[in-house]
Amino acid sequence: MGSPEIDLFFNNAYEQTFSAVSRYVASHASRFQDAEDIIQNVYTRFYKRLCDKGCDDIESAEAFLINIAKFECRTFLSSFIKRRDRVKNMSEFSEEESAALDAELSRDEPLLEDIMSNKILAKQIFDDIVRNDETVGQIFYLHFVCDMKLDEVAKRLGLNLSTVKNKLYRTIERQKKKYEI
Amino acid sequence: MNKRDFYKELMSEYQFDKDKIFANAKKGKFAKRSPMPIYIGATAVAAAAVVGVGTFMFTSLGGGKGVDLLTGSTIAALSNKERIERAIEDIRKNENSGELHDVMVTFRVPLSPSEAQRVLTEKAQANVPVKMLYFSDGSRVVGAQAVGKVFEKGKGEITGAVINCAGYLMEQLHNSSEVFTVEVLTAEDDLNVVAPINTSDPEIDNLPVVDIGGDVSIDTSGEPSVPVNPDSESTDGSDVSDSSDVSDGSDSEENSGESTDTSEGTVPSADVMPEGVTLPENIGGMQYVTKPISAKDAFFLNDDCFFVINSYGAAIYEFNGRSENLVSSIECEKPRIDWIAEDGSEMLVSAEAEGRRSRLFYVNTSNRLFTELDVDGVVMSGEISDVVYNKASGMLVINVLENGQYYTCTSIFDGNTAEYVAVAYYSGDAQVTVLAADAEYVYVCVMRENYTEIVKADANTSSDGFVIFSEESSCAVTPNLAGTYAAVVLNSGSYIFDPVTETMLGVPASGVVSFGASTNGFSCGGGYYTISDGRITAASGLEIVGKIDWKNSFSTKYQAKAVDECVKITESSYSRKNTQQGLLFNSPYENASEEIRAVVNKAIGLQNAIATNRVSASGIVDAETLAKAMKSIYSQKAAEQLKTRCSISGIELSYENGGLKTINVSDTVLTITSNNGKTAAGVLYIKAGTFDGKIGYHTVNVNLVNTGAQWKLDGIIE
Repeated sequence: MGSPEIDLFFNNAYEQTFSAVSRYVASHASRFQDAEDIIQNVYTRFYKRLCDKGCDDIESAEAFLINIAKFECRTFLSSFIKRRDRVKNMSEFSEEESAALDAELSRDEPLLEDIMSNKILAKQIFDDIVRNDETVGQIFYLHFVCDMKLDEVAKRLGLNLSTVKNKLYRTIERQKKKYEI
Repeated sequence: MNKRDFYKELMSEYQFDKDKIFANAKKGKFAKRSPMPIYIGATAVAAAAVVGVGTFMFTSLGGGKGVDLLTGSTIAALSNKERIERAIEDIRKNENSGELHDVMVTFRVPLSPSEAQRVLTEKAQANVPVKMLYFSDGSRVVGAQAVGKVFEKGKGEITGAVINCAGYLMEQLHNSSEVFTVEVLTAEDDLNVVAPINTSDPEIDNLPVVDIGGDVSIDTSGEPSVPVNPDSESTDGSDVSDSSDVSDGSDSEENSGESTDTSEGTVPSADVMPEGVTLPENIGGMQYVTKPISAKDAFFLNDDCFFVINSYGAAIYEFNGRSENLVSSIECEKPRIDWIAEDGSEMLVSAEAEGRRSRLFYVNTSNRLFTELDVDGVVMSGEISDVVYNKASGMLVINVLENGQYYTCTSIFDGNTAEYVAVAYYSGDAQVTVLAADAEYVYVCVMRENYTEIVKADANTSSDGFVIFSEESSCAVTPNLAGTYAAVVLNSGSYIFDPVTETMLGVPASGVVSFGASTNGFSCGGGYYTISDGRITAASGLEIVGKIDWKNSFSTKYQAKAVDECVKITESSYSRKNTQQGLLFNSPYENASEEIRAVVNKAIGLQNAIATNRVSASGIVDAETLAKAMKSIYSQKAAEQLKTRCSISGIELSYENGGLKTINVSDTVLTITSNNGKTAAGVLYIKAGTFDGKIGYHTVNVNLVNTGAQWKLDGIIE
């Protein structure tokens, strides 16, 4: 569909911006489960635009893509108005448990690099996170990838902070035993 | 590597299928969006009606589109392969277009009439006008009636059909397993020649599978650009209708002195008010002040509760006539009422959070609760510029400003649930204000430097819309709260934009247009008007004034005003009495002599005392004093009338209020219209309240007689 020049531009832009665009969409999409489809549309629209009008006027592909992402995030809403039940953040998660969680996450473990290299195992661990409880996947992505604080994640997902912490903590503990990590 | 980094990398790597997204993007494939409203406009239905049997009239509104791929060739001139290629391009071009086209649908295999009907209508979820049917034996049926008979009888094998549909439906139809191709027809195509594609053509089998993408996406025309930027009562007591003379003999002597004949040269003595009597000429009205509640603005939503904007947000209080009671509240910054129902029963209130207008609340007076609507997904990191809600159609438009760009987002809201629809309009380089909205369109004012356009945008899809008015001028826009009309001030003049007729109606008078909460009324230059069928008509009556003066009109009992962080509650101007009786809004003038004014004031005072059971408190300690007081004010006839009316005893101090209403002298203006020295007549204007800034008056005819010694009132004031 596009010329070699356009394809090259798109390929480079895709590699350079995918992470940033994914984070933006994941943290801004009305429903986390729509994020992948939105990202899809962002890049599809981007590619079509390149084919139609070229790339000469695009100074920053990332800025351009984020702009499209803003549009697509609004466009892709399926049902955005609902009653918002604000729940006071009353953490039942003890300070001790919070400290233990922080310590666990900060602990260096050389084995982890090997696991990342083992794509089959890494995919199994990923599937273990997202398979049983979709919310857990959202919590992991928003917290670790989008660098959102847990109270921000709780607000974003409409959950109690304690619930978010518990889901995170329990998943990590489960994986610790299951995969010895 | 620690676990934090591990999970970061793991989730980054596997959360989204990077390769699939890449491949799909290059194929031009859009992801499906779950609920996408599908509308078949009335225009399409009308189009079908003009097609007569045997005569095919092209009514395609988009005849120019979709024919450019193969040098504008007609379908008949193309090979099957070329037609398929062009069909795919047609679908791509119209994937989100609301424009109507005549479309040729070719079925993969011949279908029965019922199957064909199902395929053609199920995707549209409505009636699609079918103009022509093609049969496997080469015959064809033309026209709505003939087509209808085929579907009724259910005979024949249908290979294709010509329908009239919106562009975006083409893709939906194409995605049906029974449909082979969907092609746009143009005025150049002769339907006596063209036919559905022959699906048994061997050439077709050699065609590569072409992926035309997912369901519905957004027209690229909406693509964001790089940020480069409100009588006389003959009450008149005056209906001193000659009530039967029920004078008691005790008054006979004194009554003689009441002759109006002063020609005999004897000067009658004046009847004076007994000493020690002080009549309550001003009673005052109901007034209540709440405890300090940090109130900045307040008004009654109905007879029982009032809404307050305070230092912390907003609140709803109940009022029982004696005390207030907080019912519900929200904490928010700078709440702003964006929409209120004509009767005050519902509201939409936006508010700021951390300096950014990003919150939206729905207020329902019936349950007296605030419900926050989750609009994070629409506002994102922008802010709400304006909110327009047309309750009749349910269309809620939230115009969002983010980084200098406007996103005009539509949804259908019924007070309980809302379904997001689309970014109906997008602008990256202009100021956009929503003028009005209905079920199908959003009308926006687009301002670029010194150039103004009014654009009609499809509320259900994203598009550039149609420019329906433009002027080289700056612009000031004031939409009404109901989302039905907007005042537009341009260099060429002041107008009201009417979305029903899509015209700019000249404002009938100079001055600021004020809509209030009215859906079809406004005030301007001191006059009131309504709009209907594109015409502005002068109007009057408290009903229309009340909708414009909405903050004072939702309660028939009270009105509220924020004073020194408290809410001062007084009687409503829009009481049932005021709304049921005629009021006068002119400017009366006081011309009564001091003597006449004094006797009228005394009459008001005495009537107030009787009405409020304050006769004794006024210094009238016995029946005799009351009789003397009455005699000093009223003629014999009027005095008898009052006695009868209020069951005033001549023996002991005993009376009833007789249904008399209190009047404040300070709220009256007395205009004498005739005075011959023996009798006088005039009008007493009694202030009824303030309506949209204007004072309204009840009027009472006043008649007086001169006894020769003094003026007396010749009737009860009511």
